[in-house]
Amino acid sequence: MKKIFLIIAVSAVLLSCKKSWLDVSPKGTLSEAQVAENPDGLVNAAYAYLGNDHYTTPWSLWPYGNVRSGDAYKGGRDEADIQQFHFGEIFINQRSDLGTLDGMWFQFYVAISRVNSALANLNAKTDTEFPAKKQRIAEMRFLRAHWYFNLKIMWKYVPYIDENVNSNDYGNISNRELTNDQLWEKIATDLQFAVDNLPASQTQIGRPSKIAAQAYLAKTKLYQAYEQDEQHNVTKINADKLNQVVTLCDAVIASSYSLEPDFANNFINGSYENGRESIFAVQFSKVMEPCLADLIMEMY
Amino acid sequence: MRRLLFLVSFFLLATIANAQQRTISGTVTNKTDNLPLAGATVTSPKLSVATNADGKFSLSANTGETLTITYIGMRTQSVKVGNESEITIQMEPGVVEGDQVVVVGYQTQRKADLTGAVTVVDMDDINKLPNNNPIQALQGRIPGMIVYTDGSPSGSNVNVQIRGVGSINGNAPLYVIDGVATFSGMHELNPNDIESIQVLKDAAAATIYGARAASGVIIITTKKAKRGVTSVTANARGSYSWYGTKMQVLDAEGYGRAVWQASANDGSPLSKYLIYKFDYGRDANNNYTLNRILLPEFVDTTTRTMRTANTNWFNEISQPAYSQNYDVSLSRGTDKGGSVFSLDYLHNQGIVRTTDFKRMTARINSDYKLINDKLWIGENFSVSRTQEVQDPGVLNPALQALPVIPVHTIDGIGWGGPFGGMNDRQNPARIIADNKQNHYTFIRLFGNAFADLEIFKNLHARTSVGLDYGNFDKRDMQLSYVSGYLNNPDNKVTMSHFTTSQVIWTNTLNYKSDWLKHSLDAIAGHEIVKYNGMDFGASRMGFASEHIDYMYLNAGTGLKDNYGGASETRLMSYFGKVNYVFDRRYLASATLRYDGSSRFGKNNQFALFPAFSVGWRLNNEDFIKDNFDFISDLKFRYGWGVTGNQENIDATANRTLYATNYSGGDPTWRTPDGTAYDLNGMGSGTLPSGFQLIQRSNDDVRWESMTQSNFGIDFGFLNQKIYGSADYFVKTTSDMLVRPAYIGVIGEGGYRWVNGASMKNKGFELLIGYKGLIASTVNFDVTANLGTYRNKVISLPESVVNTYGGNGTTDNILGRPWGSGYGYVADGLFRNADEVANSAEQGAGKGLGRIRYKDLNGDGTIDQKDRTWIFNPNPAYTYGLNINLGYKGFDFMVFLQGVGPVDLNVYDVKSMTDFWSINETGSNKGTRLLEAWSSANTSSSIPALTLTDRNNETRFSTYFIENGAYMKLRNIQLGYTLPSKISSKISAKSLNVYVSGQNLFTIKSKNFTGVDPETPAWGYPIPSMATAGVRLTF
Repeated sequence: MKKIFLIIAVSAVLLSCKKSWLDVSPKGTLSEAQVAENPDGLVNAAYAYLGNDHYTTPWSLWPYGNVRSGDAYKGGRDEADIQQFHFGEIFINQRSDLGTLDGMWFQFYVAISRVNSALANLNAKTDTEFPAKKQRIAEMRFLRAHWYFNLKIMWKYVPYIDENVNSNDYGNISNRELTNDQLWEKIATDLQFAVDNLPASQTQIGRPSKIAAQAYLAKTKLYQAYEQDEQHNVTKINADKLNQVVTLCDAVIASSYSLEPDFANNFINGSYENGRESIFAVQFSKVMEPCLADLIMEMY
Repeated sequence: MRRLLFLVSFFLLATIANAQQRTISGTVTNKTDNLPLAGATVTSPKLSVATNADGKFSLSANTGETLTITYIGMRTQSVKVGNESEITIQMEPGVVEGDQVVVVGYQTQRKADLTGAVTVVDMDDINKLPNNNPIQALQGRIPGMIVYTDGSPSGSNVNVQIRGVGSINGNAPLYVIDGVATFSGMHELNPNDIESIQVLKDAAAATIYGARAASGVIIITTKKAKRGVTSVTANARGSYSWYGTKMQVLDAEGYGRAVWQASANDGSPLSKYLIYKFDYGRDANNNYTLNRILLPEFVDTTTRTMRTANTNWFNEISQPAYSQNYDVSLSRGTDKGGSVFSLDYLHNQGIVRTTDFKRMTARINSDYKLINDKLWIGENFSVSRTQEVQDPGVLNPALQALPVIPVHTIDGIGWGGPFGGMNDRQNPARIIADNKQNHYTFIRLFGNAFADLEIFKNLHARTSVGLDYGNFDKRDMQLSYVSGYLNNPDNKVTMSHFTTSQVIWTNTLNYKSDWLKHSLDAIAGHEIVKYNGMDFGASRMGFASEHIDYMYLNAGTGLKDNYGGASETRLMSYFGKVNYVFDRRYLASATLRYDGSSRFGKNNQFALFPAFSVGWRLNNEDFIKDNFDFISDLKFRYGWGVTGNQENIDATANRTLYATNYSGGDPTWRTPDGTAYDLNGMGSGTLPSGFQLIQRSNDDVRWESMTQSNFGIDFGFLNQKIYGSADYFVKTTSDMLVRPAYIGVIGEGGYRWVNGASMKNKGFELLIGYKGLIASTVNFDVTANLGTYRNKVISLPESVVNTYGGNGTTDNILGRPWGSGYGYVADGLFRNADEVANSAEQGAGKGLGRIRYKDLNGDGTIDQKDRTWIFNPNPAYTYGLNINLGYKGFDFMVFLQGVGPVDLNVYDVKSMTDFWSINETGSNKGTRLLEAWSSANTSSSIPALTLTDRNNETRFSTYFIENGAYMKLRNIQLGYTLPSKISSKISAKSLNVYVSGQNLFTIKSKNFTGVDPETPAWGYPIPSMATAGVRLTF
């Protein structure tokens, strides 16, 4: 009989193992709540995407623009060295499944998703919780405008997604939801917000200033001024918009930035980096492997 | 009355006298060779004893009682005790199938009483094979179990698939070694330690292992000491292996010829390419012809250090290889328990130069009975140390490296390498030479300790703590080099380390009882499993010397880097099983397992896995016995059950995860996705960093479950002369876990685990054997097996509707076999202008000698709408044939294994043996290029060479699908057991010598253009081998 009690006792101990024993925390990663405590983390990651450049999908868009327009040759060992770019050069085999095209598309939306998560997190903060809230929002909207600007000049019609769209609904947003003009207006609105809320100069050189936002807004409005129809014909030149471009450019010219005496200075290392003509530049940096990348500057 | 009393007394006395206990002694021998059998069990109604080393036993028994003598591998014999005091029993080889006892998961069962689909491996067929991984040796021997492997010297690359595609998340079966479950490699254990292997194929058998049993369970039991026997066995084996068939690649002239032909086909023949100069003209038909190829004396025309060569890189990276294996084991058993101690050493060279595998293992299994045999304690424990230099992935470079490049510079020391515009591929000889010291060392501790208490008769409580611990260390020396224009002045050392540990604690209550015609066996248990993994590594650059004893992290002066991480998963389970047998005729069994896993969403953390099965042994029915006496065994089985799968699912499948990604990865190979940014514009130093979303949560994510029905029949005719079994199964895998691709606009971290598609495997397995004697001297045993399955995706939820191929809109994989490929149908080549003119448009690509694609929708244009299902990776059937012959001391064995018609996707290799420009242009290619279509060779089926892939022939098409059917002579073996009068001179009980050959020939489909359909891409080549060995028992 004693033995039976023993069995029952042992079984009871075993059966009492709690379900919570199965709650194992992930290692080396953070949860949503942990990330939300550090709003600058998502902001930094959004900036970092400016530097996440790759030769098959270059942010400078040279194979899509310069090569196709005849400004540059593809180069390389021979035609077959990244032959998708060669096909772009000679206008054949342009398929939507080419990695150089849909990869580029994805890259832009990855960048935008980082901006949107940073914005969603910033929106949820109060000014007392995070005093830099407004400025960071302005910076993020500047970046978002930058990515949509490039998407826009690559594809014209793109799905427009901001931080207020639930990720489950992304699939329902058509690239023709907004017209050409409405898309430009979205970009211009983000930049206008940046112009209104960014300081004239930033202590950290990697962040955009009001001047940078004005310059980018001027560029955007220049595109907006040439209104197009469905067949890409310019139907109207909007003088009002052009005047706004002039005003914005005047503000930039009147700022502390000025032209380099020699244009080439923009591309020289060392003390010329982030020179007086550089309104906003991507801050590449050395990584641990010395063979990978030297300091590169890219201008917009 | 008195008389009666007297009579009764008389009879009683007589009876007592008659039933007088006396000591019977005897000898048990093997009838075939007359050698004594040590360790045979002799059982009287009261007790059982084991024979000693000379086959002798003694026990007390009454006249008229029956002694039963059993010995593994021999027919059980019964002897009635007569008046003699000394008896001799001769045992005949051969197993009465039903008497075999098999381990079936927390329990043992007589094979005759099994109701699940269980295959028992005949260890005699495989224990002389030079496979250091016993699972590799099972290839083709278990119907319905497919083993995919390669020829690497470690034997670690083994993928087992039991009964079709179990899950899209892998098919690895669960190994249960002495009760400890693991998924880790079997090549680290000593195959000579294995006593038996059982494969549990259906759910009725495997459900007791619940959540980890979906892909089947392989139960391995290691050798235990036999009662009353002390024996020593020793084995030695050596093999010589060679690279049977190498890939045929272009030589120096062929390479020039191919590129020139490509340019000539494009209409503008090259007069020079790299260091090649071409002298060409036109023939009578105005076609370009190549007259001569000129090559300079030196590859580097200016520096003149590399003499132009004609290197066959496959010869440079391969070698004939030797391997050796020694093992010794000591086994000692007493009445109260016993112990086995074994040691093993193995050294395998690989046929890829410098690859090499060494293993040392030690094992101690011991057990002891105390408290009047009521408490049984014991342990099974093994330690192994393996060391391996792996293939650094040199086969693909050996194809790509240009033949004009010499192995060494003219000083015989420096490395040859590309020059000028040559492709930037490494010198394969340098890759392997610089890698030769980069071995890993892995130490694995595996085993369990147990205690089994008989609480009262027939009820046992057992507890077992198992451990599977691995410790990995590697130092990777990256040496500086100059190899043509490729050079790396920086040397570097990376030291990496990981440990894995799995602790498994099992507690069971087991009740076994027989009464009248009933036999009941029940078990209830609880089990917890905790897995922890941890890894870290560090690297440093800048070493003053590259000496092997110098290059440690401390000695470096350059950049440092490090990494590390950890993971943890847990499982908690309750289970029970009841087996019931009535009158040895009717069998039934039921199982329940309730498992909880840390990997799953909080809404679905636990799951219940039930199973039941029934069996009917017709051969024990009177109407069979009376009417069909040729039937010696006949059993029908049916089983149904549910098992689960959680392997290869992230430990954190249910969570939203953010991660820091400081460096973003090496942009040479991938698009970086770092989270750090130089906001301060400092150019270096520690950068501000952030977080990226890498996965979204799903609280509902749950187990994959597999529901399986099995119909089986076991049969034996003519006193088991003909024997076998057949099984038919239907297996449905539901809710397969997947992290589906997502639309691009979601951007980063769109991944989440979801329960997706379901699929069904239906299949049939047959094992049939025929054994007997020819002219009463030659005994034979021939077994053949065949397995086949058909696989089909049967449900496809919206979340994964386009994840597995199809055109993304109207066509998806639903109703097709898992792994099916979607692509174009290549319809031969365009052979004349008419064909070009009269076919559908193919973009810019139509032309003579180009691949013509079928216009499946008939709209006159070849585009994405012309794709269809062109690829099914499931073989039509797989089979094996084993022939054993014995004549006096000789044993002869032949084993053939094969795979029926199966689609292989050979793009990886064929894109480089058949095309100049669709993959790695500028690299060396296969010799098939020289047979390509040209205006002078219009009968070829290989597309014309061209410098750019204008016709988009890299598209997935039937051009890259080939038939991978093959049959291989896996093993042919001749052994000889020396007569005992010779072996006894060295006091050996038995001495066997053997020679064998492995993979000596392959029959393959004519349609297959590669080298080996078993490793069609860049897998480690499977060598042919010649082996010799000796097995000694004292």
